[in-house]
Amino acid sequence: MKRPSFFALLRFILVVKARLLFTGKNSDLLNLGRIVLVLLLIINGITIGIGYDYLIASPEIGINIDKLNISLQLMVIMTVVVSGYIPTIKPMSELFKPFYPVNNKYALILNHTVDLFRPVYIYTFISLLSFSIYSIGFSFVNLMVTLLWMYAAILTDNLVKTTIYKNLPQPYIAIALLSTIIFTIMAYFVTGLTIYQPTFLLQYVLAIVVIFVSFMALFIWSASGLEGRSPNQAVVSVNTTLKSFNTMLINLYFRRKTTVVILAIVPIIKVLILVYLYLFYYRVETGLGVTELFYSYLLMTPALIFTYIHNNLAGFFREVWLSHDLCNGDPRKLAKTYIITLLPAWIYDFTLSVFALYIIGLFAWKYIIFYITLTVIIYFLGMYASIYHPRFIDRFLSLDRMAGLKNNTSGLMSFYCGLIMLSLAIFIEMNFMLWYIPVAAILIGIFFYKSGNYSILKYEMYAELFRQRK
Amino acid sequence: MDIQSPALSLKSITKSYGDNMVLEGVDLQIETGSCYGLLGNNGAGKSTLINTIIDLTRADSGEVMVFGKKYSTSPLWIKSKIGVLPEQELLNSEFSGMEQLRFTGLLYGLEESDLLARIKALYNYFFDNENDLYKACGSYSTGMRKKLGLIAAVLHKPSMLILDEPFSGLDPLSSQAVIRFLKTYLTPERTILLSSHNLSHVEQAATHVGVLHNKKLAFSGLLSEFTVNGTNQVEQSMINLLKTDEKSTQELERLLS
Repeated sequence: MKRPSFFALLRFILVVKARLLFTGKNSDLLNLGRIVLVLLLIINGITIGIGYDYLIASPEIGINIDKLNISLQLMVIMTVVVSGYIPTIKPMSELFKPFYPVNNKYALILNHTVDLFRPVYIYTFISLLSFSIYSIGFSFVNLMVTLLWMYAAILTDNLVKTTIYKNLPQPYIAIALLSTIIFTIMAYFVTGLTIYQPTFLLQYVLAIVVIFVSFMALFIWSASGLEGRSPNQAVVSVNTTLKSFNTMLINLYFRRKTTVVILAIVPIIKVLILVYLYLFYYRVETGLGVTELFYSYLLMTPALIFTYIHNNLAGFFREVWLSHDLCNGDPRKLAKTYIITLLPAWIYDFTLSVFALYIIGLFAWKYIIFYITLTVIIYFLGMYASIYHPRFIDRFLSLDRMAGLKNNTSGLMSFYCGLIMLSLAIFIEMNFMLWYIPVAAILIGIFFYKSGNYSILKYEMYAELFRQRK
Repeated sequence: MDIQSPALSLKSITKSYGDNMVLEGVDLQIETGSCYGLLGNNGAGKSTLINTIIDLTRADSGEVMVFGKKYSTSPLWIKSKIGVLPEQELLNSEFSGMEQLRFTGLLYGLEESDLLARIKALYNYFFDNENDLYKACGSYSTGMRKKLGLIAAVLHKPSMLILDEPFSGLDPLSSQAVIRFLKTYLTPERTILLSSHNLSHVEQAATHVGVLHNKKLAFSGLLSEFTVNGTNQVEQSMINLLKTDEKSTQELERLLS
């Protein structure tokens, strides 16, 4: 049999994807939404860029910091955040059915390649680029650095998810880890050569960033490495571990290895952010600026942590859903499940965040309000959205789906939440000039207020196993 | 291909989902040139058995050999020799019918010109409106999806065709078209394995039948050995074999009156 050409298949798939952009279901409306979203991303990037330049140019700042260096640090954080907001353990392009005569590795590589053309990456790149251009002036090096970071984040993200879903051996994760670290070093090496400050870089930034990224990769690695159960095993565990809410909680927080690992790493992440914040704060020798605010929000924002916990919990909740007959669609049961299982994680994360901010001297009541408002909005809107479909957790924090701008209530809700979060952050700083975000949210909401179009294959698989088990 | 080997050979296949054993020591041999109809009640394990045969599910124990080869040693060779219509979704909902078939053809290494000719011929046999070929698969009815899946399965002219519930969702005319197609497709070099609830369809298409019951093959052999003279032969034979007790309708009559 003639082996299908990689590029022939890739070309074929990309042509179909391109056609779908213009002739797919609701493509006119979706394209309008995409344009609005891209405009928003550009405006957002420009706003942050100009604001950042203003901060750096401020005479109040006595220390000379290279703008490129700082912007790069911001990009690191932004990329990490963006990457963290794509949490679903869902299959990527699943174009190759298992019974096709295609080598698994070949299919894996092609799926990866196809996935690089996902809109979320393009949107991320646009946002980073517009920030980069308007903060420090466009340069080839800056563009290359941005691309390097994007590539590292995408590769890591894809490999980790593939490893989780396909239950592949650990070398793929090792590649992700190595690539992240190598690209970190490369990016800073390029920057260091450009700005002729190698000593400074080696002493401070490089070490911190490498540690930060390594921990991030280790964190993902640990979490994903342990999440290797097959669907059958997952269903078997329903029988053995989930007898009641109490046993569910005990299993989730003490016996489920992934959760234990994540919860153990949460303080490390908080401390790393704290160290990063402290060093920056110390070096800038100024009051609260945009960057400090950004880090503070990161510290007080449970989303990053919770996306990973949710990553872990997705399978867990499916089991809960099945084992407790939540398929009946009882919202009260659902709410109870949510609250009981998430409350300890909330308290845990909140305590750590407040403690960290208190140490650094940035604690303020507005952050508490910010945190509470954020969590309430995100989780209750998520619960509301999830009532309509059992795959709620998979979906409701999935920016990935949202970025694809498919009709998806949960994705839409998560997008709303993101925008509301930003609006709140801006509102706290009383910068009314930036109220375009909620306005845009309403506009996009009008465009996409439609549910349905869910891919339910995975749920169906679980349901079938559940029925067979019965 | 090893002509001497049976098309399919299963030895002591056992499969469980947790505590629930679905297949227990199933042995089966299907000779080349036969059309084997796999029958059984709901939940008898037909789909599990077929999924095991196409390597979607790994058996807990036992051995699957297709044309004398194992998946562990020759997975791509076996997959290139079989065509599959699975029970679960095969089509990419965003692809058009034509795109789906071209994509499948590419994966089997078919030449573009040959591929298009086959698609046209097969499509025109199963469908009336050619415009539907260019619509998104997601908009297809269940029957249309089933027929398109069947076309995708036979595009590369596989030596063994494995069809899981090929008649479900099909109207009577389409079912007859599928039966005629299967009879035409079956040659001494080819083998067909199909599972179905519809006994009359199996009766028309199959040369051999197997009945899964209580996790095992309760019968496996020639159709003529299984049936008795008269109408609804397979159905009556199934009832005889499985000895289904007729449940009393007395309580129902009282409730419904």
